[in-house]
Amino acid sequence: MIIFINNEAHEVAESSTIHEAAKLFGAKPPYAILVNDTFLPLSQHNHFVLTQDDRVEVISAIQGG
Amino acid sequence: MSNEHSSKNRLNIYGTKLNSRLLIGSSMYPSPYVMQQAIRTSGAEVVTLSLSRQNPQASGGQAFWESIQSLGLLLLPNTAGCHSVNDAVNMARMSRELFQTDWIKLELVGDDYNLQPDPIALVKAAEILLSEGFKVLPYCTDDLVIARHLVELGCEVLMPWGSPIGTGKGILNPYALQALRDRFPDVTMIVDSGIGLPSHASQSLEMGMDAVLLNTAVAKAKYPLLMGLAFSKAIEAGRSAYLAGPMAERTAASPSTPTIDSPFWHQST
Repeated sequence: MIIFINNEAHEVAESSTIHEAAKLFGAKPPYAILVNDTFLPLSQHNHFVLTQDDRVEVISAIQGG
Repeated sequence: MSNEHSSKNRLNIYGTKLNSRLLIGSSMYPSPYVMQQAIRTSGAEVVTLSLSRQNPQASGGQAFWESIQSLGLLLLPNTAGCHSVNDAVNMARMSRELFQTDWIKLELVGDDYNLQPDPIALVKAAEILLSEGFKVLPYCTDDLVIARHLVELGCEVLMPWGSPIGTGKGILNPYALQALRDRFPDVTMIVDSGIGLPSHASQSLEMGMDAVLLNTAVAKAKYPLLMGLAFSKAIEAGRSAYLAGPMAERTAASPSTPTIDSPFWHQST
């Protein structure tokens, strides 16, 4: 199935979890996750199952003022 | 100065007591090395940072995170760039998980021209985040009524602007800031944004503001390390002046040298 990670289309296996999708993406910890514009806590990364066209954001620290 | 660092005289952010009254940003420095050195020179104990989409192919994000961690300072994540309550709340939640802090510098842009905070969305987001246990530091204008709403919700810190972000114009409306200070004497008041010169920071502290938060003024200085030091000294001077109790301003001149028994008294007109 196709999902979107940081606005790019990625093909992942059916029933993939967020953890698996982030690993496929090459995400480097520490990072936080948004799924369809909603924050998904770390404790749910191994349990949340993705579905077709889900939009995932992998977020990490940057400079800020 | 021993009095400056006495327990009673330390900056209070939701019960955390700090010696430095400067909070500093981590953006726009010429290099990570200069960022680290300038922040250290400034004496700041709190550094702000933000969140963005990760690009695993770029190493810069990881290097920045390691660089910030090595400073060993308290982290104040912001919600910069958020235009909606939902975005700001989500960003705060992600920040808490990533940075292991309940502190959040709540920024909600209401207009892109001057990055003026959206006061209505700010109050709504603050209410949600406070209910979730966040310690909210709202970036607000100098509007007294919005400030009162934020305080009534439970904000123990307010961060009114001196002038719009990145302008370096200093305190454009001293009256409004003084009104905030006088109206909420027990709220920690941090002037956030618009500080361009050490004299602006000193002025803020002289007015009784508790601290200043700045970034561009140091990061974009020709010599950021030197400017960090200059701000550190200016803030200490401003705070000392406030504690010392400035003289009352007068309209008419008043001689500082005693004139009684002056040999030239008869020459006065």
